[in-house]
Amino acid sequence: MRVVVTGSTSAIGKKIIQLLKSKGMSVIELGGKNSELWRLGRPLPKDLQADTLIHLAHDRKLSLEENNTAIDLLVESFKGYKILISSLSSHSKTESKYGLSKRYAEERFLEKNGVCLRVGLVYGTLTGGVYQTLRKSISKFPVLPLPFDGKPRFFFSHIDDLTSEILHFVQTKQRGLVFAANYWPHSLRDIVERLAQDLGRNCYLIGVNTATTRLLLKVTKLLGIKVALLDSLKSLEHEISNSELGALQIPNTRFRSFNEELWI
Amino acid sequence: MGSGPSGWAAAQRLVELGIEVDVFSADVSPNDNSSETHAPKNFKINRKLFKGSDYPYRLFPTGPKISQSEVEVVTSFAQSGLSLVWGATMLPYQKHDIGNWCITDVDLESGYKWICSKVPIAGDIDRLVGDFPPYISHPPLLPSSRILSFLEKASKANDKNLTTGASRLAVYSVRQEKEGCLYCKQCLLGCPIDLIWKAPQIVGLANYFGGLRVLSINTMEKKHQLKVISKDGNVFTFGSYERVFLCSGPVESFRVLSTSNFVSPNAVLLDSQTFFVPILISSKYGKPDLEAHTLSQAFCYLKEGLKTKSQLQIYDYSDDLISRVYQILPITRILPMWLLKKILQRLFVGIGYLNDGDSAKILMQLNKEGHVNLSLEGSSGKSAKMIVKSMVRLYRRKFYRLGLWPLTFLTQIALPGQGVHCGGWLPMGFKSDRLGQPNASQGIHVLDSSILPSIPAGPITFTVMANAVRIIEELYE
Repeated sequence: MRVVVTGSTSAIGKKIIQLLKSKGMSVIELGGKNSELWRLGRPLPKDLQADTLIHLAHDRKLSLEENNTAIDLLVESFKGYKILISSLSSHSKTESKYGLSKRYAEERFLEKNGVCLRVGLVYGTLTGGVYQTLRKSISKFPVLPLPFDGKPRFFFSHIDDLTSEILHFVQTKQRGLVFAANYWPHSLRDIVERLAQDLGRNCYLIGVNTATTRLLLKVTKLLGIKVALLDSLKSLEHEISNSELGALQIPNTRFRSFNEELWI
Repeated sequence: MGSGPSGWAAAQRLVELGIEVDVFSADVSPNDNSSETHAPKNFKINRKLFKGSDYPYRLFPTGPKISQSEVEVVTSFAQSGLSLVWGATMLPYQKHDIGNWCITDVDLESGYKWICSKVPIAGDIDRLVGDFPPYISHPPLLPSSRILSFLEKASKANDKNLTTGASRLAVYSVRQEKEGCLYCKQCLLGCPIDLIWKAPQIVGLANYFGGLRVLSINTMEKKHQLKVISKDGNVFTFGSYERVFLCSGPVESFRVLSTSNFVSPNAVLLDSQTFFVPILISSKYGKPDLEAHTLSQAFCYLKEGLKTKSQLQIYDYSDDLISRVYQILPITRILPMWLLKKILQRLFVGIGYLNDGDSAKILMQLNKEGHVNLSLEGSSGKSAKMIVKSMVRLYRRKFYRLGLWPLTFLTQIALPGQGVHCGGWLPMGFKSDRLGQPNASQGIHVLDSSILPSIPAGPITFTVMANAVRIIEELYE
């Protein structure tokens, strides 16, 4: 079986490629800024022979329209089975650029009978990703602000569970919109406190209430400041609703609880 | 006998093992309007109805009567029994709480696992797993943001004597066999899309005889005959059975066995005293969520050494609380609704349970006419009230640093039996053997809560069902 992986240089990409290869599959790695074969925003090469596409690539620097066009080109240029690694921030109330572009990608993948995995905060033996950035920030800064008073909730996806879930879809080629995380949420405050404890850091956490966080977002918008961090902040403003979560397909893999890492 | 959770579990397991089963159920239905209702009148905690109907509490229209004095033992003659209106909490008893039983948690393990494979048990791996094995088959129902915050704070406080964790509930939480929870806040009124598990209908599973109440069992040459009465008062004799399993709840099991002269006409029914306490929460917890489930969201176990002293199930605010408050404090009716709601939204509600040792005891007597009288034994009720008060004070001390203040002066103490965690009048290893056979009988097994040697604080249904399955499996072996 031949599998194409976009965003192959990302932390998740590396893990999934490693797993696919260990299962004897042939993998075409696409991605990275220096990739000569393909870059986000271009159609896949016409002579690419593969059964399955795993789409991980995302470029926060592209505008929403550019991202959507890139998805259209990708979807139209690949005829095989498609897997999109999406995000739980691509819900119906999302206003963040990242969430909206993932949402558009989901629509396109589902139209073409693909599968979309809505992934939570990925953690485990990773060298990159939001989780590691959070860890680094905690170990670096003695004072940390908590937007929305630290109340936004996160769901966790352990990298090993996520890769085995992806493998399951590569093998079964099932369709749908899947919840690919553990079902128990953790508040941002809880996550930061736990990580600080784990790292042996004594961080001072300042809860920034909802009104102030929203004001900050408005001011930055008025000033035309465009930083990836602000888009992440915006994605925290509206959460996926419980009923929307309940309507997602349950994963085949049992995603381990973030608690299990801490207590068991 | 019986179609509630233990009756269903027993029948299902027997059928799986290839045994022919006849099930007798009183099967009072919503159409049986003529039968007297048993929905407690003077309990200040609203009794849950099944989609607006009180039929799960209606008595069987004919046959022996049950009279009660100073106690309110809830019985159900409906198909699926009290599982039609239960709180769906599913937690095993912890091993230290059943240390004095003639069976151990290891004996119950296969029963728990079998139930887990049939019933959706929604829960998460959290701090409770240290004491309560994670018999979980479904993802957890999502907690409200305030309960999530409470659980996270309680986890960090790491109190040795207070174990907290997410509730484990028999609910189809996610889209699987059924649609999945909509978080519409209607749980306490009866889930509109039936996601709360109730004992499935036995019709089709076994030979089902509905609308019949067993009066007595006659044993002749190791075969058992059942004398039954129909809803219109006709009496019949049924079958020639090798074994009879009683799963009709402790009061009916007592009546049948006592009428049949297998046990004495007097017995002491153990109860887990129930209480209700509103808990004021810090403003930092914020407002209630727009989307939430309104079943129990968190379990708190107050421990003394290794044993459980009390269990508290915590509920977040739901509009249902308004009618409860009107009952407890009628003066609140003068408040405008928006103000009352604003006040009540600063509350959690705790429903607590004590061990049977700290609770009142109920005397069951069978009179000459075959009727059952239930009454309070001695002064056990007074001491239970004192213990409840001291327990709520203890919770107040523990919860203080978590930003929760139980309102002790608004604590409501239920009448003995109202909490529906009763049983233990025919304890295994004492008045019955480990297969639930009363000492004077052979081939007659009690599988409901009657045979539990004690009633620890906490959900009872899971253990009763697991024990029923254990007995069936041990008998089969």
